[in-house]
Amino acid sequence: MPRPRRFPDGGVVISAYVPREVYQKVRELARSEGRSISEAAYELIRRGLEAGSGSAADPPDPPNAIQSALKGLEPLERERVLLFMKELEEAEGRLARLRPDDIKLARSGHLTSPEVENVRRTVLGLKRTYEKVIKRSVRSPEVLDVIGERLLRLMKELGVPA
Amino acid sequence: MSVYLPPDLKAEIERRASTRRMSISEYALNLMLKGLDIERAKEAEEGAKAKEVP
Repeated sequence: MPRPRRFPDGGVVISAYVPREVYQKVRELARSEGRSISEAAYELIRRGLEAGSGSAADPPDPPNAIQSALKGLEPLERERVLLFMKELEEAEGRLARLRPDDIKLARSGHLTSPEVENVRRTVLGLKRTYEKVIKRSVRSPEVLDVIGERLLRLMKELGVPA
Repeated sequence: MSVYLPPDLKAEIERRASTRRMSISEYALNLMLKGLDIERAKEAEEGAKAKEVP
């Protein structure tokens, strides 16, 4: 079935892992406006962006610490970090597409589906790479903090032991 | 939740998320929450106006 909306330059799909209450609110809003959930979420994101950076939820751009920290790395290290962050991002997207019930079970150590198992295996691989490659080669604590926090969140969601 | 959006908007979200040391998913959630707040404020304002009209 073709998508109901088209963007002149073609559209892209992003995945967001959101609390169930937020999902329900977006779904209610979509229903009340006769739109799809994706359309309603797109509209909310657009409004959020247009609202600018005046609110506490969206503080003004901080000095770009991660970018400057990355600049300080050797080219090979930088490539490794960027590749690792891309893989992290992909794993976060895959996690967002899993069923909430499956995630809940995975968090408590029960594997429910091959999809969960696949994402979990990816996260285990990322953990290994982080410990054996990233942590040993990247010296910047700033960069390690950013990557480490995101990896930990993924591990927690999927019940991967630290 | 999957959201279909134009590539330039995704690029902007990506840029802002990276300066805030957040993932796209986290930042998109923040924007949705902000959008919901705006929606709520708009509804409250419309409700107040409707009450004023006799």
